[in-house]
Amino acid sequence: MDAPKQVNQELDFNDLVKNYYTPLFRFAYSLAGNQEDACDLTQQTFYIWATKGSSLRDSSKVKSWLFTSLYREFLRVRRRGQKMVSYEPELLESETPPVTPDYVSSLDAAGAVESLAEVDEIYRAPIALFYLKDLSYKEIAAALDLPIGTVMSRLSRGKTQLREILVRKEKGTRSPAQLDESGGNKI
Amino acid sequence: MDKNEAKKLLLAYRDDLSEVDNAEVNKALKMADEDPELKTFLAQEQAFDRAFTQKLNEIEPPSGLLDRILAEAPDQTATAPTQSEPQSAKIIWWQHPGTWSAAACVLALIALTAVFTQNNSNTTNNRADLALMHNFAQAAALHSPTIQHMDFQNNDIGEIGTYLAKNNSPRPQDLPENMDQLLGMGCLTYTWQDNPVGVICLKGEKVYNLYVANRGGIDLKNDHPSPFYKQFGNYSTALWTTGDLIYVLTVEGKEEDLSPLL
Repeated sequence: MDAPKQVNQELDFNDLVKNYYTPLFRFAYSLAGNQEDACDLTQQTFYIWATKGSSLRDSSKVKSWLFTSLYREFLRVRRRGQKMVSYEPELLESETPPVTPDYVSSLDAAGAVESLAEVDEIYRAPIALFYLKDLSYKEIAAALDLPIGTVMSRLSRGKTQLREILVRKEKGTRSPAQLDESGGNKI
Repeated sequence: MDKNEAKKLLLAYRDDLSEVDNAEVNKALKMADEDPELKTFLAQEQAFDRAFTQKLNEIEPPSGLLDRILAEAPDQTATAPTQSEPQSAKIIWWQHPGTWSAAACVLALIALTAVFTQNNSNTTNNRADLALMHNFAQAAALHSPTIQHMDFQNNDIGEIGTYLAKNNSPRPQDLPENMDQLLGMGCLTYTWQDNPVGVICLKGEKVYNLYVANRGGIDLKNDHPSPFYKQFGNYSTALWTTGDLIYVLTVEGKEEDLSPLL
Protein backbone atom coordinates (compact mmCIF):
# COMPACT_ATOMS: atom_id res chain seq x y z
CA MET A 1 0.00 0.00 0.00
CA ASP A 2 1.53 3.29 -1.03
CA ALA A 3 1.68 6.15 1.43
CA PRO A 4 0.78 9.44 -0.19
CA LYS A 5 2.16 12.62 1.27
CA GLN A 6 0.92 13.39 4.76
CA VAL A 7 -1.70 16.08 4.50
CA ASN A 8 -2.70 18.91 6.76
CA GLN A 9 -4.86 21.98 6.55
CA GLU A 10 -2.23 23.82 4.54
CA LEU A 11 -2.11 21.08 1.92
CA ASP A 12 -2.16 22.51 -1.51
CA PHE A 13 -5.19 21.43 -3.48
CA ASN A 14 -3.03 20.65 -6.51
CA ASP A 15 -0.89 18.30 -4.43
CA LEU A 16 -3.96 16.59 -3.05
CA VAL A 17 -5.31 16.00 -6.55
CA LYS A 18 -1.96 14.76 -7.83
CA ASN A 19 -1.58 12.37 -4.90
CA TYR A 20 -5.00 10.80 -5.08
CA TYR A 21 -6.58 11.21 -8.49
CA THR A 22 -5.12 8.01 -9.93
CA PRO A 23 -6.25 5.63 -7.15
CA LEU A 24 -9.61 7.38 -7.02
CA PHE A 25 -10.02 7.07 -10.77
CA ARG A 26 -9.22 3.35 -10.57
CA PHE A 27 -11.85 2.88 -7.87
CA ALA A 28 -14.37 4.94 -9.86
CA TYR A 29 -13.65 2.95 -13.00
CA SER A 30 -14.10 -0.31 -11.09
CA LEU A 31 -17.48 0.87 -9.82
CA ALA A 32 -18.84 2.53 -12.92
CA GLY A 33 -17.30 0.24 -15.54
CA ASN A 34 -16.65 3.02 -18.02
CA GLN A 35 -14.08 5.77 -18.35
CA GLU A 36 -16.44 8.71 -18.83
CA ASP A 37 -18.40 8.14 -15.65
CA ALA A 38 -15.16 7.36 -13.80
CA CYS A 39 -13.75 10.75 -14.85
CA ASP A 40 -16.90 12.53 -13.71
CA LEU A 41 -16.92 10.71 -10.37
CA THR A 42 -13.27 11.51 -9.75
CA GLN A 43 -13.70 15.16 -10.63
CA GLN A 44 -16.85 15.47 -8.54
CA THR A 45 -15.05 13.94 -5.55
CA PHE A 46 -12.41 16.67 -5.65
CA TYR A 47 -15.10 19.27 -6.18
CA ILE A 48 -16.79 18.07 -3.00
CA TRP A 49 -13.45 18.22 -1.23
CA ALA A 50 -12.90 21.76 -2.47
CA THR A 51 -16.26 22.88 -1.13
CA LYS A 52 -16.53 20.81 2.05
CA GLY A 53 -13.21 19.15 2.76
CA SER A 54 -11.83 21.94 4.87
CA SER A 55 -14.28 20.90 7.60
CA LEU A 56 -12.38 17.63 8.01
CA ARG A 57 -10.49 17.92 11.25
CA ASP A 58 -8.48 14.72 11.22
CA SER A 59 -5.98 15.14 8.40
CA SER A 60 -4.95 11.48 8.59
CA LYS A 61 -8.39 10.55 7.27
CA VAL A 62 -8.23 12.49 4.03
CA LYS A 63 -7.69 9.38 1.92
CA SER A 64 -10.61 7.52 3.51
CA TRP A 65 -12.72 10.67 3.20
CA LEU A 66 -12.04 10.87 -0.53
CA PHE A 67 -12.84 7.20 -1.15
CA THR A 68 -15.98 7.44 0.97
CA SER A 69 -17.10 10.57 -0.88
CA LEU A 70 -16.53 8.96 -4.24
CA TYR A 71 -18.52 5.89 -3.22
CA ARG A 72 -21.39 8.05 -1.94
CA GLU A 73 -21.33 10.09 -5.11
CA PHE A 74 -21.49 6.89 -7.16
CA LEU A 75 -24.53 5.72 -5.19
CA ARG A 76 -26.13 9.16 -5.46
CA VAL A 77 -25.68 9.40 -9.22
CA ARG A 78 -26.88 5.88 -9.75
CA ARG A 79 -29.89 6.41 -7.50
CA ARG A 80 -30.94 9.41 -9.57
CA GLY A 81 -30.26 7.89 -12.95
CA GLN A 82 -30.95 4.21 -13.02
CA LYS A 83 -33.38 1.62 -11.88
CA MET A 84 -32.28 -0.57 -9.04
CA VAL A 85 -31.29 -4.18 -9.50
CA SER A 86 -32.37 -6.53 -6.78
CA TYR A 87 -30.10 -9.29 -5.66
CA GLU A 88 -30.31 -12.48 -3.72
CA PRO A 89 -27.05 -12.97 -1.79
CA GLU A 90 -28.25 -16.20 -0.25
CA LEU A 91 -28.47 -17.77 -3.70
CA LEU A 92 -24.77 -17.40 -4.36
CA GLU A 93 -22.74 -20.55 -4.48
CA SER A 94 -19.95 -20.73 -1.96
CA GLU A 95 -17.76 -23.02 -4.06
CA THR A 96 -15.11 -21.08 -5.95
CA PRO A 97 -14.81 -22.16 -9.56
CA PRO A 98 -11.24 -22.52 -10.82
CA VAL A 99 -9.87 -19.91 -13.20
CA THR A 100 -6.80 -20.60 -15.27
CA PRO A 101 -4.08 -18.28 -13.93
CA ASP A 102 -2.94 -17.60 -17.47
CA TYR A 103 -6.39 -16.30 -18.29
CA VAL A 104 -6.19 -13.52 -15.70
CA SER A 105 -2.76 -12.58 -16.98
CA SER A 106 -4.08 -12.53 -20.52
CA LEU A 107 -6.77 -10.00 -19.66
CA ASP A 108 -6.07 -6.35 -20.26
CA ALA A 109 -7.02 -3.79 -17.61
CA ALA A 110 -10.27 -2.94 -19.38
CA GLY A 111 -11.18 -6.62 -19.47
CA ALA A 112 -10.59 -6.91 -15.74
CA VAL A 113 -12.81 -3.89 -15.08
CA GLU A 114 -15.44 -5.27 -17.44
CA SER A 115 -15.53 -8.49 -15.41
CA LEU A 116 -15.67 -6.57 -12.16
CA ALA A 117 -18.53 -4.45 -13.47
CA GLU A 118 -20.61 -7.61 -13.85
CA VAL A 119 -20.31 -8.45 -10.16
CA ASP A 120 -23.38 -7.45 -8.14
CA GLU A 121 -22.99 -3.91 -7.00
CA ILE A 122 -23.20 -4.79 -3.32
CA TYR A 123 -19.98 -6.78 -3.69
CA ARG A 124 -18.26 -4.61 -6.30
CA ALA A 125 -17.08 -1.80 -4.05
CA PRO A 126 -15.50 -4.08 -1.39
CA ILE A 127 -13.79 -6.16 -4.07
CA ALA A 128 -12.45 -3.12 -5.93
CA LEU A 129 -11.05 -1.67 -2.71
CA PHE A 130 -9.65 -5.08 -1.75
CA TYR A 131 -7.74 -5.41 -5.02
CA LEU A 132 -6.67 -1.81 -5.37
CA LYS A 133 -5.02 -2.02 -1.93
CA ASP A 134 -5.25 1.70 -1.27
CA LEU A 135 -7.19 1.12 1.94
CA SER A 136 -6.73 -1.28 4.81
CA TYR A 137 -9.56 -3.53 5.96
CA LYS A 138 -10.50 -1.05 8.64
CA GLU A 139 -10.52 1.79 6.15
CA ILE A 140 -12.60 -0.23 3.69
CA ALA A 141 -15.08 -0.94 6.46
CA ALA A 142 -15.18 2.76 7.37
CA ALA A 143 -15.51 3.91 3.75
CA LEU A 144 -18.43 1.57 3.11
CA ASP A 145 -19.83 2.04 6.60
CA LEU A 146 -19.91 -1.69 7.26
CA PRO A 147 -18.61 -3.91 10.05
CA ILE A 148 -15.37 -5.68 9.12
CA GLY A 149 -17.11 -9.05 9.32
CA THR A 150 -19.63 -7.93 6.71
CA VAL A 151 -16.83 -6.64 4.49
CA MET A 152 -15.18 -10.04 4.67
CA SER A 153 -18.32 -12.00 3.90
CA ARG A 154 -19.03 -9.72 0.94
CA LEU A 155 -15.47 -10.18 -0.26
CA SER A 156 -15.84 -13.92 -0.07
CA ARG A 157 -19.13 -13.94 -1.97
CA GLY A 158 -18.05 -11.27 -4.42
CA LYS A 159 -14.85 -13.05 -5.31
CA THR A 160 -16.80 -16.23 -5.92
CA GLN A 161 -19.04 -14.31 -8.27
CA LEU A 162 -16.05 -12.73 -10.00
CA ARG A 163 -14.58 -16.18 -10.56
CA GLU A 164 -17.83 -17.38 -12.08
CA ILE A 165 -17.80 -14.45 -14.46
CA LEU A 166 -14.18 -15.07 -15.43
CA VAL A 167 -14.82 -18.79 -15.95
CA ARG A 168 -17.75 -17.93 -18.19
CA LYS A 169 -15.64 -15.50 -20.17
CA GLU A 170 -12.80 -17.98 -20.39
CA LYS A 171 -15.15 -20.54 -21.87
CA GLY A 172 -16.37 -17.91 -24.29
CA THR A 173 -19.99 -18.22 -23.25
CA ARG A 174 -22.39 -15.39 -22.76
CA SER A 175 -24.51 -14.62 -19.72
CA PRO A 176 -28.23 -15.54 -19.66
CA ALA A 177 -29.03 -11.83 -19.75
CA GLN A 178 -26.98 -11.39 -22.90
CA LEU A 179 -28.66 -14.38 -24.45
CA ASP A 180 -32.06 -12.90 -23.66
CA GLU A 181 -31.11 -9.56 -25.18
CA SER A 182 -29.89 -11.11 -28.39
CA GLY A 183 -32.90 -13.34 -28.64
CA GLY A 184 -30.69 -16.26 -29.49
CA ASN A 185 -30.56 -19.51 -27.57
CA LYS A 186 -33.59 -18.46 -25.55
CA ILE A 187 -35.72 -21.37 -24.48
CA MET B 1 -14.43 -25.39 11.09
CA ASP B 2 -14.51 -27.59 8.00
CA LYS B 3 -12.57 -27.07 4.79
CA ASN B 4 -15.32 -25.21 3.00
CA GLU B 5 -15.69 -22.73 5.85
CA ALA B 6 -11.93 -22.25 5.89
CA LYS B 7 -11.94 -21.61 2.13
CA LYS B 8 -14.59 -18.92 2.50
CA LEU B 9 -12.44 -17.11 5.05
CA LEU B 10 -9.27 -17.53 3.01
CA LEU B 11 -11.02 -16.02 0.01
CA ALA B 12 -11.22 -12.71 1.86
CA TYR B 13 -7.68 -12.90 3.18
CA ARG B 14 -5.20 -10.20 2.30
CA ASP B 15 -1.71 -9.75 3.68
CA ASP B 16 -2.63 -6.80 5.86
CA LEU B 17 -5.37 -8.74 7.61
CA SER B 18 -3.13 -8.85 10.67
CA GLU B 19 -4.58 -5.45 11.61
CA VAL B 20 -7.82 -7.26 12.32
CA ASP B 21 -7.81 -9.60 15.26
CA ASN B 22 -9.90 -12.34 13.76
CA ALA B 23 -9.57 -15.69 15.48
CA GLU B 24 -11.53 -17.46 12.75
CA VAL B 25 -9.19 -16.30 10.01
CA ASN B 26 -6.15 -17.23 12.08
CA LYS B 27 -7.64 -20.67 12.52
CA ALA B 28 -8.23 -20.98 8.77
CA LEU B 29 -4.63 -19.92 8.09
CA LYS B 30 -3.36 -22.52 10.54
CA MET B 31 -5.48 -25.16 8.82
CA ALA B 32 -3.97 -24.09 5.49
CA ASP B 33 -0.52 -24.59 6.95
CA GLU B 34 -1.32 -28.16 7.89
CA ASP B 35 -3.61 -29.25 5.07
CA PRO B 36 -2.02 -29.61 1.60
CA GLU B 37 -5.34 -29.04 -0.20
CA LEU B 38 -6.01 -25.81 1.68
CA LYS B 39 -2.41 -24.76 1.25
CA THR B 40 -2.70 -25.15 -2.51
CA PHE B 41 -6.05 -23.36 -2.47
CA LEU B 42 -4.59 -20.39 -0.59
CA ALA B 43 -1.55 -20.21 -2.85
CA GLN B 44 -3.73 -20.25 -5.96
CA GLU B 45 -6.04 -17.66 -4.47
CA GLN B 46 -3.18 -15.33 -3.65
CA ALA B 47 -1.73 -15.78 -7.14
CA PHE B 48 -5.12 -14.89 -8.56
CA ASP B 49 -5.35 -11.84 -6.29
CA ARG B 50 -1.91 -10.63 -7.30
CA ALA B 51 -2.76 -10.99 -10.98
CA PHE B 52 -6.05 -9.17 -10.60
CA THR B 53 -4.52 -6.39 -8.50
CA GLN B 54 -1.87 -5.94 -11.16
CA LYS B 55 -4.54 -5.64 -13.84
CA LEU B 56 -6.49 -2.98 -11.93
CA ASN B 57 -3.32 -1.06 -11.20
CA GLU B 58 -2.59 -0.93 -14.90
CA ILE B 59 -5.53 1.43 -15.28
CA GLU B 60 -4.33 4.93 -15.96
CA PRO B 61 -6.59 7.99 -15.91
CA PRO B 62 -7.04 9.70 -19.26
CA SER B 63 -4.33 12.25 -19.92
CA GLY B 64 -6.59 15.30 -19.62
CA LEU B 65 -8.26 14.38 -16.34
CA LEU B 66 -5.74 15.99 -14.00
CA ASP B 67 -5.90 19.30 -15.86
CA ARG B 68 -9.67 19.14 -15.99
CA ILE B 69 -9.96 18.63 -12.22
CA LEU B 70 -7.55 21.44 -11.44
CA ALA B 71 -9.03 23.82 -13.98
CA GLU B 72 -12.65 23.36 -12.94
CA ALA B 73 -12.22 23.18 -9.17
CA PRO B 74 -13.82 25.93 -7.09
CA ASP B 75 -11.55 28.70 -5.85
CA GLN B 76 -9.66 27.20 -2.93
CA THR B 77 -9.12 30.53 -1.24
CA ALA B 78 -12.83 30.52 -0.42
CA THR B 79 -12.53 27.39 1.69
CA ALA B 80 -9.24 28.01 3.48
CA PRO B 81 -10.12 28.80 7.10
CA THR B 82 -7.27 31.30 7.47
CA GLN B 83 -8.53 33.42 4.59
CA SER B 84 -12.20 33.68 5.46
CA GLU B 85 -12.17 36.64 7.85
CA PRO B 86 -11.59 39.97 6.04
CA GLN B 87 -14.73 40.21 3.93
CA SER B 88 -17.36 40.94 6.58
CA ALA B 89 -16.00 44.36 7.59
CA LYS B 90 -16.41 45.72 4.07
CA ILE B 91 -20.13 45.00 3.85
CA ILE B 92 -22.35 48.00 4.60
CA TRP B 93 -25.62 47.40 6.46
CA TRP B 94 -28.01 47.31 3.51
CA GLN B 95 -25.77 44.85 1.70
CA HIS B 96 -25.64 42.56 4.70
CA PRO B 97 -27.37 39.24 4.01
CA GLY B 98 -28.88 39.34 7.50
CA THR B 99 -30.78 42.52 6.66
CA TRP B 100 -32.34 40.91 3.65
CA SER B 101 -33.06 37.74 5.59
CA ALA B 102 -34.83 39.76 8.26
CA ALA B 103 -36.83 41.63 5.63
CA ALA B 104 -37.74 38.36 3.96
CA CYS B 105 -38.86 36.95 7.32
CA VAL B 106 -41.10 39.96 7.96
CA LEU B 107 -42.66 39.64 4.50
CA ALA B 108 -43.12 35.92 4.97
CA LEU B 109 -44.75 36.52 8.34
CA ILE B 110 -47.12 39.06 6.83
CA ALA B 111 -47.97 36.66 4.00
CA LEU B 112 -48.51 33.78 6.42
CA THR B 113 -50.72 35.91 8.63
CA ALA B 114 -52.82 36.86 5.60
CA VAL B 115 -53.12 33.25 4.54
CA PHE B 116 -54.14 32.08 7.97
CA THR B 117 -56.70 34.80 8.49
CA GLN B 118 -58.29 34.19 5.08
CA ASN B 119 -58.55 30.43 5.33
CA ASN B 120 -60.80 29.81 8.28
CA SER B 121 -62.40 26.89 6.47
CA ASN B 122 -59.14 24.99 6.67
CA THR B 123 -58.61 25.65 10.35
CA THR B 124 -60.28 22.50 11.56
CA ASN B 125 -58.36 20.33 9.10
CA ASN B 126 -55.12 22.07 9.98
CA ARG B 127 -55.67 21.48 13.68
CA ALA B 128 -56.43 17.82 13.07
CA ASP B 129 -53.38 17.53 10.83
CA LEU B 130 -51.15 19.27 13.36
CA ALA B 131 -52.26 16.88 16.08
CA LEU B 132 -51.58 13.86 13.86
CA MET B 133 -48.25 15.23 12.72
CA HIS B 134 -47.25 15.93 16.30
CA ASN B 135 -48.21 12.41 17.36
CA PHE B 136 -46.45 10.69 14.48
CA ALA B 137 -43.30 12.76 14.92
CA GLN B 138 -43.35 12.07 18.65
CA ALA B 139 -43.74 8.33 18.05
CA ALA B 140 -40.73 8.43 15.71
CA ALA B 141 -38.68 10.43 18.24
CA LEU B 142 -39.51 7.92 20.96
CA HIS B 143 -38.83 4.95 18.71
CA SER B 144 -35.48 6.15 17.33
CA PRO B 145 -33.41 5.62 20.52
CA THR B 146 -34.79 2.09 20.87
CA ILE B 147 -33.45 0.87 17.53
CA GLN B 148 -31.03 -1.92 18.37
CA HIS B 149 -30.68 -3.66 15.06
CA MET B 150 -31.80 -3.37 11.46
CA ASP B 151 -33.72 -6.01 9.55
CA PHE B 152 -31.63 -5.35 6.45
CA GLN B 153 -28.24 -3.71 6.09
CA ASN B 154 -27.23 -1.99 2.89
CA ASN B 155 -25.65 1.30 1.83
CA ASP B 156 -27.93 1.79 -1.11
CA ILE B 157 -31.26 3.48 -0.50
CA GLY B 158 -32.62 1.90 -3.67
CA GLU B 159 -31.85 -1.58 -2.38
CA ILE B 160 -33.30 -0.63 0.98
CA GLY B 161 -36.47 0.56 -0.73
CA THR B 162 -36.72 -2.75 -2.58
CA TYR B 163 -36.43 -4.61 0.71
CA LEU B 164 -39.12 -2.49 2.34
CA ALA B 165 -41.48 -2.98 -0.60
CA LYS B 166 -40.97 -6.74 -0.43
CA ASN B 167 -41.90 -6.58 3.24
CA ASN B 168 -45.07 -4.60 2.66
CA SER B 169 -43.72 -1.37 4.07
CA PRO B 170 -43.82 2.02 2.37
CA ARG B 171 -40.63 3.00 0.59
CA PRO B 172 -39.35 6.52 0.03
CA GLN B 173 -40.05 8.00 -3.39
CA ASP B 174 -38.78 11.53 -3.95
CA LEU B 175 -36.43 12.55 -1.19
CA PRO B 176 -34.98 16.05 -0.94
CA GLU B 177 -31.84 16.27 -3.04
CA ASN B 178 -29.70 17.31 -0.07
CA MET B 179 -30.42 13.96 1.53
CA ASP B 180 -28.35 12.35 -1.22
CA GLN B 181 -25.26 13.17 0.81
CA LEU B 182 -26.39 10.65 3.45
CA LEU B 183 -25.24 7.07 3.20
CA GLY B 184 -27.77 4.31 3.76
CA MET B 185 -27.07 1.97 6.65
CA GLY B 186 -30.12 -0.27 6.52
CA CYS B 187 -33.76 -0.42 7.49
CA LEU B 188 -36.40 -2.03 9.63
CA THR B 189 -40.15 -2.21 9.60
CA TYR B 190 -42.30 -0.63 12.25
CA THR B 191 -46.01 -0.19 12.94
CA TRP B 192 -47.67 2.96 14.19
CA GLN B 193 -51.38 2.88 14.96
CA ASP B 194 -51.74 -0.19 12.75
CA ASN B 195 -50.00 1.56 9.87
CA PRO B 196 -46.90 -0.05 8.35
CA VAL B 197 -43.93 2.28 8.55
CA GLY B 198 -40.58 1.84 6.84
CA VAL B 199 -37.63 3.06 8.91
CA ILE B 200 -34.41 3.81 7.05
CA CYS B 201 -31.21 4.44 8.99
CA LEU B 202 -28.87 6.91 7.32
CA LYS B 203 -25.46 8.21 8.16
CA GLY B 204 -23.96 11.63 7.55
CA GLU B 205 -22.48 13.92 10.16
CA LYS B 206 -24.85 12.11 12.51
CA VAL B 207 -27.11 9.08 12.38
CA TYR B 208 -30.56 9.89 11.03
CA ASN B 209 -33.71 7.78 10.91
CA LEU B 210 -36.24 8.33 8.17
CA TYR B 211 -39.78 7.10 8.83
CA VAL B 212 -42.01 6.61 5.81
CA ALA B 213 -45.74 5.94 6.04
CA ASN B 214 -48.71 6.05 3.73
CA ARG B 215 -50.48 9.32 4.17
CA GLY B 216 -53.89 7.72 3.68
CA GLY B 217 -53.44 5.50 6.71
CA ILE B 218 -52.59 8.44 8.93
CA ASP B 219 -55.40 10.48 7.41
CA LEU B 220 -53.76 13.84 6.88
CA LYS B 221 -56.17 16.21 5.14
CA ASN B 222 -53.76 18.75 3.69
CA ASP B 223 -50.43 18.68 1.90
CA HIS B 224 -47.45 19.66 4.03
CA PRO B 225 -44.56 19.93 1.60
CA SER B 226 -42.57 22.21 3.91
CA PRO B 227 -40.91 20.53 6.88
CA PHE B 228 -42.67 20.81 10.22
CA TYR B 229 -39.98 20.79 12.93
CA LYS B 230 -40.58 19.61 16.46
CA GLN B 231 -38.17 18.86 19.29
CA PHE B 232 -38.87 15.92 21.61
CA GLY B 233 -36.27 15.72 24.35
CA ASN B 234 -32.86 15.08 22.80
CA TYR B 235 -34.38 14.26 19.44
CA SER B 236 -35.28 16.69 16.74
CA THR B 237 -37.83 15.74 14.10
CA ALA B 238 -38.91 17.11 10.74
CA LEU B 239 -42.14 15.96 9.13
CA TRP B 240 -43.35 16.59 5.59
CA THR B 241 -45.51 15.02 2.92
CA THR B 242 -44.84 14.26 -0.72
CA GLY B 243 -47.62 12.77 -2.80
CA ASP B 244 -49.16 9.89 -0.90
CA LEU B 245 -46.33 9.54 1.58
CA ILE B 246 -45.58 11.15 4.90
CA TYR B 247 -42.00 11.34 6.14
CA VAL B 248 -40.44 11.98 9.52
CA LEU B 249 -36.70 12.47 9.77
CA THR B 250 -35.24 12.18 13.27
CA VAL B 251 -31.83 12.90 14.70
CA GLU B 252 -30.34 13.14 18.14
CA GLY B 253 -29.68 16.83 18.03
CA LYS B 254 -31.30 20.10 17.08
CA GLU B 255 -33.36 21.41 14.20
CA GLU B 256 -30.13 22.82 12.74
CA ASP B 257 -28.96 19.24 12.21
CA LEU B 258 -31.98 18.52 10.02
CA SER B 259 -32.75 21.70 8.15
CA PRO B 260 -29.69 21.63 5.82
CA LEU B 261 -30.88 18.27 4.52
CA LEU B 262 -34.43 19.36 3.66
